Amino acid sequence: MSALFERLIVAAAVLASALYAFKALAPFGWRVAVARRLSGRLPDRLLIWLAGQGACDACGPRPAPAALRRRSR
Amino acid sequence: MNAVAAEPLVALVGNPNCGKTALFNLLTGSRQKIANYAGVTVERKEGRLRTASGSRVRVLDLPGAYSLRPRTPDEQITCDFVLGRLADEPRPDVVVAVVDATNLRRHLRLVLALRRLGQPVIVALNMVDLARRRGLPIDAPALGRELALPVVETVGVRAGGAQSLLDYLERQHAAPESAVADGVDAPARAGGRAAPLDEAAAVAADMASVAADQHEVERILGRLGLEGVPADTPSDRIDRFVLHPVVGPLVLSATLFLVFQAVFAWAQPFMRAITALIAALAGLIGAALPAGLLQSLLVDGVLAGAGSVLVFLPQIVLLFAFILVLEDSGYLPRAAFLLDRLMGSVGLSGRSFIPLLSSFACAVPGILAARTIPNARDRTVTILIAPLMTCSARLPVYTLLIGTFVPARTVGFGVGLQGLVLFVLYAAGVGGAFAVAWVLKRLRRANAIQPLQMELPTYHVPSLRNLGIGLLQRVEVFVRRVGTIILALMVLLWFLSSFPAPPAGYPGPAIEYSLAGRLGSLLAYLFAPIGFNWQISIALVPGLAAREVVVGALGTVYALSAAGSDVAGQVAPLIARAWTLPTAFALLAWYVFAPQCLSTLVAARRETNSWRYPAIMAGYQFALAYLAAGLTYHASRWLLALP
Repeated sequence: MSALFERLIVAAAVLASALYAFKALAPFGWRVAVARRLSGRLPDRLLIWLAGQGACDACGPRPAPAALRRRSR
Repeated sequence: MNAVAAEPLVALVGNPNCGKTALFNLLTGSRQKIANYAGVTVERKEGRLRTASGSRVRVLDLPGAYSLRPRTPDEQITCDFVLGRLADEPRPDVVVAVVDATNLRRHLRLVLALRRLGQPVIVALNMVDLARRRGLPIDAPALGRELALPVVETVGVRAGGAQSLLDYLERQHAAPESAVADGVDAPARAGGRAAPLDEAAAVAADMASVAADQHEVERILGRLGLEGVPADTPSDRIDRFVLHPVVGPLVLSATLFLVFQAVFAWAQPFMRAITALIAALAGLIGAALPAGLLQSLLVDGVLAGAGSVLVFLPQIVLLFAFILVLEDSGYLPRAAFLLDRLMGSVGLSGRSFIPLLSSFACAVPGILAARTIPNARDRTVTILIAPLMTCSARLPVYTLLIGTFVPARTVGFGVGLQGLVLFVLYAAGVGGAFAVAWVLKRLRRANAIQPLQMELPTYHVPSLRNLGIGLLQRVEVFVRRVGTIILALMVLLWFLSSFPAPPAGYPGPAIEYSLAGRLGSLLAYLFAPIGFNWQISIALVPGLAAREVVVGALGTVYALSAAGSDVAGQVAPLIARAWTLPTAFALLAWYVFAPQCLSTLVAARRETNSWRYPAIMAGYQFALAYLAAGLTYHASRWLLALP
């Protein structure tokens, strides 16, 4: 395995973890604000995923904000 | 109209602990939590069922309510829904009034109130098997004639126990028949199902008719030959011991003590197996990948981090198996009854018991369960102290430290020292909660003492199905957390602990030079007085997300600090070499009170509708944790005569 390929895998894992941790821990309003800020730069489905979940397992899934859904269409 | 709105809506309504959620699970195939005490459901739950003909029906499980005059936030949810007060929710097409066949005297009052609303109502006579075993002459058709409502028999805890209800819903869907009582509250019916309900009139009528309802219930019971209900003899016999003022508390203490002993003694073989599996996996990865970034990420980050948390799964399963057995058997409300006097002395009511008990699993459902407390002050105090109950996320921290620093020996009478220490830590959490409640009682003027009024359910032999479902859910939750948020945080911590890489010839471990190492060194100024080194200080930061993350964080930090010969997933030998006994005890004391859990703070914010109480909660818990850890550290050093 080349050193570059290894670094790419590790970088992808770290970025994905950072995104997941933000989605899981940040308050709903923060996630919506970040998703709006990134709108157009990242895929809509990714942004809806980022904004649309509750902050803890016990809360269960919450719907993506309607405004964001409209924007993504 | 969309497809969801076109599906008929069926709402399950009834008194607490009449078996609504068991019936809901049977109808929809859901796995909502059920237990043999009142107040388990505090939010509406929705599911779908498909009838034999293939049509779909939406089913709502609503919190229990004694009447249509709500006294608690959870009752309010039910009443708002049934009375059509919710703007974005249609009124149900059919209300299924679930009643406990063993206690019709109390449950029929709500049926009469629902009947007056003029909505289609069907009565599900639940627990008929139990009623017949007690010799009650249950006659569903006769009850239906007396109520002028359709009545079906159900057994919520038995497979196929809801078939008669399903058949009725199928018939109702195919050819809607009137399930509205004849000659009852004709004006309410006149508007038909779509008519807006005159809410004030309905509530006023409900208030005026309580006495009349009781009279009507007595009349119906008299007609059915149910006026003299036989005593629940087996439960009464058990209660003579379990609720005895002297024997009862002893039975409760012995039960809890046994649970903690078993958690330590019985889980060990399974924990060793998981540890060996993780070590083997680390060996495989080490052999397959060359030393480098990817190998370090997988071995030091993923396996040493997330793997060291997964090891504690057997203990969590055992703890919840005991709690579920106690829940399903009907013992827990008795424990609430026994503790009412003690809770009253610190300004709480026995009603706080169930929310506090739920907090042993996780403080978030415990805080939600506080909705069953009618008094606002008691509710706020219960929410504030709920995080002091030892949640399951603390268990991995406790067992790691106890297993490492407390010798596995008995202290007489076959009592294991490790189980004893675990019991003391749980007791310290409860004691701390009561102490905080007592202080809050002094700070805030208490309302008049409210006597505890709660029903004691019949004892049941715990259902293996419920036990299996409950345990499976717990395992799912734990493994999902390990595989998602804990894994993500461990990868991030590995990154922060590995970069920037130290220059060539750096004398110490590479982690000291990393971002995490520098952050840890800064935090160590704050935590050094209570005996925490920089590695512990780093681990406390991701522990803010979830308490058990601290175990994985210690695994990653020490794996990266070690010379490379240590095996992933075995954090215990690493900390045994690095820490003194006072440091370990101080960390245990810290975690009895530690505030690290963002989800709990968010839940408290949502339930109190203010950031004030979460701020108070985080502040007092941090202060208590710091104080307790500091006292423990310095007292231990003094006792052990350490320099």
